Amino acid sequence: MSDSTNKTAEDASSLDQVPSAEFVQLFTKLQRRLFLFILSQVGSPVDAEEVLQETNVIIWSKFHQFQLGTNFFAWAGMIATYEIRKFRDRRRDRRLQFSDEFLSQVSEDAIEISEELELRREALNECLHRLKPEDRELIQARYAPGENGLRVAEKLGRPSNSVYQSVGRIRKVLFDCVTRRLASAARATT
Amino acid sequence: MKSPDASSQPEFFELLEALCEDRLTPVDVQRLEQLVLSSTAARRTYLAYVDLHGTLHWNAAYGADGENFDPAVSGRTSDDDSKNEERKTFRRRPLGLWITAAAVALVGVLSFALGRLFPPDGAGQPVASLGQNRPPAPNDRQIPAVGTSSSGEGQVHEHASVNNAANVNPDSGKPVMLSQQEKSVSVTEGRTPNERVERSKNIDVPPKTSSEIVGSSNVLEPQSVASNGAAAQSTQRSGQRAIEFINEHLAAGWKLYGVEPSPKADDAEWLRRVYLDVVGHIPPVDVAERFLSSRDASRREKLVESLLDDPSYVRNWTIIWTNLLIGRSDSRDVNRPALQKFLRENFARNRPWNELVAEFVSAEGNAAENGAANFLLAHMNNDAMPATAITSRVFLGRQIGCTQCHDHPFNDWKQESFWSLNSFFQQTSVAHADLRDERSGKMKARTTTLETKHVGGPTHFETRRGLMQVTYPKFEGIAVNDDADTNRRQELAKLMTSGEKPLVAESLVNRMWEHFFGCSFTRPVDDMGPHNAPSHPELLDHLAKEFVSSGYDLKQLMRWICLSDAYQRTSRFGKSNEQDDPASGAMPLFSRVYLKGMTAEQLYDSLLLATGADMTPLELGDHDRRRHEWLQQFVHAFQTDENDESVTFESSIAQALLMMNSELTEHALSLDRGTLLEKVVHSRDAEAEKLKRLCLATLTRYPTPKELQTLRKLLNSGSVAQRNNSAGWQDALWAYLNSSEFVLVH
Repeated sequence: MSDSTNKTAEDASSLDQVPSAEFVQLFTKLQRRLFLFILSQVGSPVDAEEVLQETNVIIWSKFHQFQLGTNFFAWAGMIATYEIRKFRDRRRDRRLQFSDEFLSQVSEDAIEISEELELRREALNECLHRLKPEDRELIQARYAPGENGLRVAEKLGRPSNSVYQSVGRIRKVLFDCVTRRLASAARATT
Repeated sequence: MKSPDASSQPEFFELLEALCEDRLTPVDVQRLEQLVLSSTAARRTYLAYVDLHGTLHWNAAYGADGENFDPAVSGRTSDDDSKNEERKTFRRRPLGLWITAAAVALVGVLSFALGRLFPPDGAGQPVASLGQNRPPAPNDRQIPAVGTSSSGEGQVHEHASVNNAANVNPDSGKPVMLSQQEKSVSVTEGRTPNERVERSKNIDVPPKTSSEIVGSSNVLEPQSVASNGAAAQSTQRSGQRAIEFINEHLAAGWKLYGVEPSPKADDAEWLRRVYLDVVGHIPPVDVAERFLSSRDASRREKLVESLLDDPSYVRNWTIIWTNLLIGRSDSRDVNRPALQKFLRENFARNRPWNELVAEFVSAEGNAAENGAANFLLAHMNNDAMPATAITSRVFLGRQIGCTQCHDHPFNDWKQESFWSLNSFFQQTSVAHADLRDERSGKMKARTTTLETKHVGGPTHFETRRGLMQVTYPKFEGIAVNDDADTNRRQELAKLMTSGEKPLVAESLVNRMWEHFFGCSFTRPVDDMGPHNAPSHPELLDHLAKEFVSSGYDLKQLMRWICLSDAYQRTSRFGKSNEQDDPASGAMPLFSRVYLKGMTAEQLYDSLLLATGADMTPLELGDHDRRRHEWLQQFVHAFQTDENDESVTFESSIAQALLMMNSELTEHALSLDRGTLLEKVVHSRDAEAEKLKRLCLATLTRYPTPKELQTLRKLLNSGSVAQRNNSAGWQDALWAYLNSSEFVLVH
């Protein structure tokens, strides 16, 4: 996280420099991780996508500040943290507003366990395959882009509460499955 | 009191779920923050859960490995494709035949109809009032904190304001003791403050028989009221007297507070209520038909008698007391069927309540052989602290849980009294053994036994200052020999269940009253004591004494309540008694019967009964087992000091159905042989008649003209007719079952 170069964002945005292929690769690879990092602090995926876009703009404009070989996620995370606060202060009307204390505690822990979270994301795929087919279909319907529990309920003609209930149950099943898998993997390696 | 880490609390997961579906209220957000910040484990759980939610979201849009993500166009290109693909999957998903959009639309129509059921002048109970029936939150009312207890100790304590607020006259702001106000009606001869004998105006109170020891034969014979001649007559007389006392006493309260009670409930409303309250399910359709067409002047009395003798009576009270004694969760190390067998046998012979309590407190032996032992077996963990707290709360209506660590904040219960009660359980231990086959030596079963060790001596506890203190077995100030030869629990059982009006009687009356009226004399029902003055102290006192002199006859007590004037009234209210609303924090006057939500068990049984989905008689163990398995989905148990459990059941049909196995659900709404729908649809009745039967089977009433019109329109509408002729009927049944009217006990 070097800020040693004194170039400003304006300088960079003139696009007289092109980021290296390695930078682009890192950037692309870490989008999901960054999104999830932001999500844990803004709560809503839609908001998280918005903050991610804003963060990306900054990352893109400051690519020359990043030194290859250092921790990209830590660097981008700093930018995201700043954008998260900006977003929150701009959207004071939002129901979902977390306090400063919450944000700093959560972001600190998120970075600390980021490797574990990455392992969980891998295990999640396996767990999705182990769902009952009807459960998997419901969770797919729920997470199809642009969907939410309420709209799925409308489409299925089911009361929204019952869909919330089912989707919640499935999420909990997945959560427990991931936790179990990680625990048994940890046992296997020790 | 110790609380489990937030990361394992169901509340925490509920908040996380609400976050995932964007349903958090600002209060929820605060609570979530609080929990997340409370521990590292909670933070990890939060992160992992939100991460899972986000990963699902992300992967659906951009793919699991981020390959589809193109930074240049901000990753939105894949959106449409994947959406279309999802849509395809979605359409392939077979729609449950029983939940259709039309049915849901109908629910709206019906709710409207239900709203019209109540007086249209705005004074009626709103339809969605289920949640309002809960006890008020402590800060609901802004009334000056005046702590005054019925025994006149006059403690003033900030936190006690709500319960005592009930006795504050809103005009003067001064405490009004109901018991004094009502002297004009029931003559109270005060001898000493603690020793009063109430006499109703024109009624002689017989001398009280006090039974000193449980098991002594005098008053404690099980009383079968209907069967033996002279005794039956005298019981009937005393029963009539108790009912009159209730009537006069409540009427005096209405007069005093200027309240006009609600009118008498029509037969349909009353029938459904008394069925649910006494036997735990809605009335079968044929019973309802007969009752509603009966012109017999004493039909209500006769119905109460037949319900008290109904096999479902035993089933219902076995469910209720199993839940109170060991909870709904399966996690405790108990033999649930054995406990239920014990309860069934004893409720069937109407065993006096004091004997039952004594059995639970003093039980010994094997979990399978002595069903009563399972109550304590469930709570002997943590140095018998749950056993102490729960014995007190469930049987005595006294919450002393907090006094294990410190003196009670609102009254004079000391920390020592918790431990002196706990001391009674100190000889008790739980033994596990493997039962082996004598020949093969193979393990047959595992047995759990409640044993009494031959030990004596005091109990030690630590005060908050860290001092070790000593105490001895002592109940309500009466000490018991602490040597090894004294069986302490037997002594406790005697002390708890003897005397003219022991706490067990008062507490049971309070609980029973709540069961039928939807509100007890004290709120909560099991937090009685000087800090929490009852709304009708004299009535409670009188009923408790009558209950004792009836020989702790449970059926008798239910008979008094069911036949009281107040219980005959409708749950609807008008302008004249809208203030009688305990849900908003007011003192209950019982000028109407308050609404209750069905319990999970009531809902399950009523659903199966109404739809004919399960022809297994409700009384069979098979049915109980299936319902119990179904229920486990809603129950979470904690190993806390009071062995709490939480039930996440919301009294909604949709939830109930979805959590049932799909075969049963589909069957419930199918036209298979034997179901309600099959009988209705295939009958030769006219359409209107069929609809009437459907309504009667589910809501215990005939449909309103408006409902009939709407339903008939739906049945004959093009979209339904095209699908097939049974779909409309399924929609209609689904709509009735899904109405808030179905899940309410009103």
